[in-house]
Amino acid sequence: MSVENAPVVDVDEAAIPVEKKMYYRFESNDKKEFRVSELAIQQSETLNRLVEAMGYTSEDVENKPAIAIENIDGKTLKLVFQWCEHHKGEAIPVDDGSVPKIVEIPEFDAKLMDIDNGLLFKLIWAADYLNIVQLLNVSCKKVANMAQGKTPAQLRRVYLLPSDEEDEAAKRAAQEAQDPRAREVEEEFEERKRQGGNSFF
Amino acid sequence: MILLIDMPEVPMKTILEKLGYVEIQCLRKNCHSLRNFIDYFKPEQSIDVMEISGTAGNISLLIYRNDDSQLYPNGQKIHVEYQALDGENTEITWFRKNKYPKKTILHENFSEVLSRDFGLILKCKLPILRRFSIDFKYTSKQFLKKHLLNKSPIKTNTLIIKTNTLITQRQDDILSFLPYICADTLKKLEIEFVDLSGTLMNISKIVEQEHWKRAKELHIHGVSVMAGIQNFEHFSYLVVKFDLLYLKDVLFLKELFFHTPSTFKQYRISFGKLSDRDAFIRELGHPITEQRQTLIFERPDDKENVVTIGFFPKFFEFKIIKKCIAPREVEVN
Repeated sequence: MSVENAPVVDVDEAAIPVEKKMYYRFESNDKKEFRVSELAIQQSETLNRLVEAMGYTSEDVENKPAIAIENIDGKTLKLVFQWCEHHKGEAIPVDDGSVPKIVEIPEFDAKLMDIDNGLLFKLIWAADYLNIVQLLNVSCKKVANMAQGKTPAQLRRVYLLPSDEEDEAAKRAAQEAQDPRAREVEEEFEERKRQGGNSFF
Repeated sequence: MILLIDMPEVPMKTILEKLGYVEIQCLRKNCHSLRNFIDYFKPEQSIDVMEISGTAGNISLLIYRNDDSQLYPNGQKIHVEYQALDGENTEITWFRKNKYPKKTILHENFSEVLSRDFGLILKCKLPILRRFSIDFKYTSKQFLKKHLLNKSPIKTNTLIIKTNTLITQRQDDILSFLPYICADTLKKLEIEFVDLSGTLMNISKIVEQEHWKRAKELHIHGVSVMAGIQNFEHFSYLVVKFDLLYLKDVLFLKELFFHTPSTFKQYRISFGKLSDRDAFIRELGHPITEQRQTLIFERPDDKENVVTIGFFPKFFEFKIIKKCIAPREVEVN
């Protein structure tokens, strides 16, 4: 299924599907509304628990206000729901050590995530917030792949990382609240920094 | 705009778990936040093979995943060489797939630099290694102790030690290194003594070590060992040489193979000489030159498997095999 054909639709863009399946309505923080199938919602542990707790009937989902997802914007939420619809019914990975940690990015996901880094990071943030395990896996894999073969300076550009100096202020503030273990670790960091990490880099 | 360093803990850990050792070290170099996160949470690395080898003025370090043998950046295999340069300086060569960048570190001994790098790698969260191989043939292992001291022992399934230390120091040399290796995970112990073939080594202290008792597979190459045969009976796979082999030892092993509950057992016992050659011939016939001439014995209470004993001119070979693949009918019991 292509990204364009995924069944997530803005409410004003297409007719309501005439299926018996229940479609929940969600609203992003910029007031974009989406209809998402019950099965697709199961990919998100957070949303699945939410709708179960609400106990909506078919009438409720039409008559009650859309469920607000206040900290995700419409552009990101559309990607999230497209992913959920495409992968609906698939088993959700369990982190019990039995699943191989090597992640392959399927073609659909690769196309869906052919986006700028800013939106990709928002997608990861949303996948984490909504607890969509496999979306988090593939999106994090995509970010990890971007690092392959890069030097520290190149990584700084790719990930828009601050330099140590830029990070210093935040570090100082954080130190105020550090516990003893963190301070100990910090001392180790500084020692390693002086040593420059592995000598071959 | 959300940046990488703004990521919550779970996604950040998920990303780091998918990065190789080199990328993580490169990220560490960038800013405090990432360095703190990486060093505190120690993302697990997929490295499961470590090899250290070298000569008097040159040590090579290889770390990689067993199923990924491609050099970085095509794969995650890291190969670095540390070479002594003009006395106390060090030249480091990183053998990448497409280039071999070199770096000179002034006023620091090459073994110290390796020692530090190795220590940093060990600080990562590593899985149980498949193989840890350390070759002391032409160099000293003392440099490692500094960074292995006070650390958790290295967890590995296979430990390979290659050395050519003086005969009088050999046992102590290995004994001093074993505490840095976790005995619980050890399955295979391989010790190779180079350039000293034909010499005799007392291993009476090594056989008392937990590593020896836990390992299921043992290979000792390059020397004849001095130890009672009973010290070897727990091994499933054994390659060892005795300078003088007694008939009672061979008969002990024969009984062991008859009654061992496990059918996965294979020994190759080499010897310098036999205690009483005539007695061996009376018991087992003349030494053979072909595998198909091995003696075959029924195993009591085992209808499916048989024991084969090959009495070759320089070694004995004990095996348990399926009766159906035995080269001929069972002849002796």
